[in-house]
Amino acid sequence: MNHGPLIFLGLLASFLTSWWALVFAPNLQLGSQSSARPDGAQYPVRPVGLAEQGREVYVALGCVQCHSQQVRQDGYNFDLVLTGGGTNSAAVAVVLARVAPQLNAAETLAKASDTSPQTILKGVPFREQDEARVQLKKAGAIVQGIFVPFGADLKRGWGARLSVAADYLQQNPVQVGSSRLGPDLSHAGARMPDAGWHLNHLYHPRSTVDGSIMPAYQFLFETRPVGKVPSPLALKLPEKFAPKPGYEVVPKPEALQLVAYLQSLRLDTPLFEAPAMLAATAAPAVTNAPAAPPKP
Amino acid sequence: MNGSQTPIASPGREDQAARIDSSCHVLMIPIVFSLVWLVLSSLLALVTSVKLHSPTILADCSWMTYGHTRPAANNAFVYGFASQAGLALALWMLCRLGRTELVGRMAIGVGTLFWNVGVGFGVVGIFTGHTTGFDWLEFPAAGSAILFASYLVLGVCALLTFKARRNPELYPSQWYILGALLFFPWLYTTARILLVQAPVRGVTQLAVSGWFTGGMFNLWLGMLAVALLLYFIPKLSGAPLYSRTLASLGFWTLAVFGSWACHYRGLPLPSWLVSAGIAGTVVLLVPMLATVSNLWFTLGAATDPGAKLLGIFKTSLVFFALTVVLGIFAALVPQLRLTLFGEAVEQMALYGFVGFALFGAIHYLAPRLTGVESDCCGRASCWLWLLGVVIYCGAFVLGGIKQQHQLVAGAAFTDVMAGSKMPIRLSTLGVLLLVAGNTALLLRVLALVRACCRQCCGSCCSSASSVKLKPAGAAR
Repeated sequence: MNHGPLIFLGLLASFLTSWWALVFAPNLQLGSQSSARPDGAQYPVRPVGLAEQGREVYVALGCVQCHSQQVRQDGYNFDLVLTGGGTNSAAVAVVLARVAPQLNAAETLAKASDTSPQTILKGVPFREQDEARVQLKKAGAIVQGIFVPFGADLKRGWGARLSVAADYLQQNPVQVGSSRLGPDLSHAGARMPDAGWHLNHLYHPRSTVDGSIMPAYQFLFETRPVGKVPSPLALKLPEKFAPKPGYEVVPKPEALQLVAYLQSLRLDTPLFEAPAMLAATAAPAVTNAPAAPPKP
Repeated sequence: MNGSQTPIASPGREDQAARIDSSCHVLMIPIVFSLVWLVLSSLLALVTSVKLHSPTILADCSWMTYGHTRPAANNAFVYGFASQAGLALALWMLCRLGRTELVGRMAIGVGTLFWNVGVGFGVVGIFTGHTTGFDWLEFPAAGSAILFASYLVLGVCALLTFKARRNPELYPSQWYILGALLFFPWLYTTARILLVQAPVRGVTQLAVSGWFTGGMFNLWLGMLAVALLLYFIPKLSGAPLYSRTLASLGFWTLAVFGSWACHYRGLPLPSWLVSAGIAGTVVLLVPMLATVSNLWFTLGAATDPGAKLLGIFKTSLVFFALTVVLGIFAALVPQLRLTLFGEAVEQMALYGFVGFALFGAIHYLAPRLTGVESDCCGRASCWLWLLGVVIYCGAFVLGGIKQQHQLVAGAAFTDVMAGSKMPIRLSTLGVLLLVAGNTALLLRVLALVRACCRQCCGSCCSSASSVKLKPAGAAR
């Protein structure tokens, strides 16, 4: 080990190996992923207008330092839904009474149709769902198993499913984040659709989330005397955080852009590689739920 | 064992060492600048930390927002302090180990100035929101271009110094320095091109970014720090390096697997890549154990176990081991990396492992390069750092473990946040101690430089004789 050139060659070889394995190979595998889905739709759609400008504000302010955009899930449970009894209702009713004793079999069968699917089993493991489905199918019923993702992140309402590679196709730079000092924002738009909530939150986080550790972004707002006509954009802040009388807090364009971006974030589009149930997205936002609307 | 060569100075070499040291005067420029960045970085870290429990502090100043101060503090530490001081110390070690004088002093002086202009541009770019949005690559194009150009100047000077060595046998520190000098430009240009200039699509950016930060840490800063440890521990303890074979095992495993150690767990990446990242992190145990055991046995044969400054290098060695072990947990346990734990491991690696090695070397080198003997602030700054790092990282490790439990169990996020308040308050105390320690070191070095300049002026004005420097051996 006394020859510089030999050491150089060794180092070059080790660099090239790791480059090939960790940079080149992932690009080979994922670099040509397309945002055109097999069904002809585009996913993800590039944000436009205010939301796109807001994404730039998000990057420039370094929101990624505290907020991740990567939702994880522990696995899938399954729902089983019935959309028709077929021709042999009596046999189906017998099987139904066996696999789902808690239901009124006759009533469920009567209600079931394409337009009103009846949930027979809810959030059960695959095997249980599959056994029930096979038995019902044999009896002639029309049944379908539905993927229900579950996990700690989903329980908090941070998304309807896990994040997958396709979700980031339109992002540059990808702001996936490496810290969860703040909540995950993948689904922020669906979780908190109210722009007023977001603006109040940016102006003074503790006005909307009690005990929040998020720093205030008051430079995104202007506190100014109320003119002849109060600005329609002025924040409706709780009394404790309101400016002194005769003044109003008005968001600057950056604040409006950032909020438009946050409102555009959602993670509930079902994909082949990440099935999700749209109906299930109405799960209550467990954290950072909008506080009671600020009193005027 | 075959510890064939040691960096211990024999009495006959003292004149030569003094001549080499006097050729390295110019290295005081990067050292002083790096310490200025260090103090700035810790001040920014203090603002970052305070912002988490007092949300309205500096809320009207867009420069001082959390998303700016945190990356600015990290980049000022990595590029302003660690890289700059590491390079300066590497140049000095190359001179000492190769028994040659520094090549291209003028170029190094100018290159250093531009390096600092680059870091300055970069940090201001982060403050004004021109960040690229990738860890450790946040500098906008102007900053990073200047930085890289000046690196090329410094790197070429280092390679020329290496080439001009009079001692053909290579000491392990020289392998590590050579590795670091080559890996930095390779990693930096590849990542810069693939992430900023011609960005790859979607999640492949995450793969590149993880590869870059892992490589930057292990192959650039880590290699420089290990080079310092392998140089100073045998030198100060007065024992030859225990085993050259172990050193070579540590070197090659670090070189091959250093950039494989990426934290991909939980990211939307192919699972083979995630597994490769975890495996890489675990394999880092091999270079760590090789280096630690090698130096441990060296210390066992020490003739002067209580040598001054040896404690700092031992601390760095301990943090090296801790960083690798905690890094494995961060890579393996779900969500742990996303909590305060991840931050703790990063800061422990930066301040504890790399930082302590650099601090010790600067404490050793500054009196020799300036030719002034002074002990002020030395001991105080070491204790302040140690306390600071232990409080900061200790609080974040414990807080992070609790956070991870809550996150995985699906607790409401407000509860998770409430639980992290105490560790955050404690971390502010830790950062405050680090600020004090860094300031003490900066003051000490500035005092040395001032005394050196005075001596220099005194000798120029009173007599026309050239500057007489204390020989290195006589300094301590």
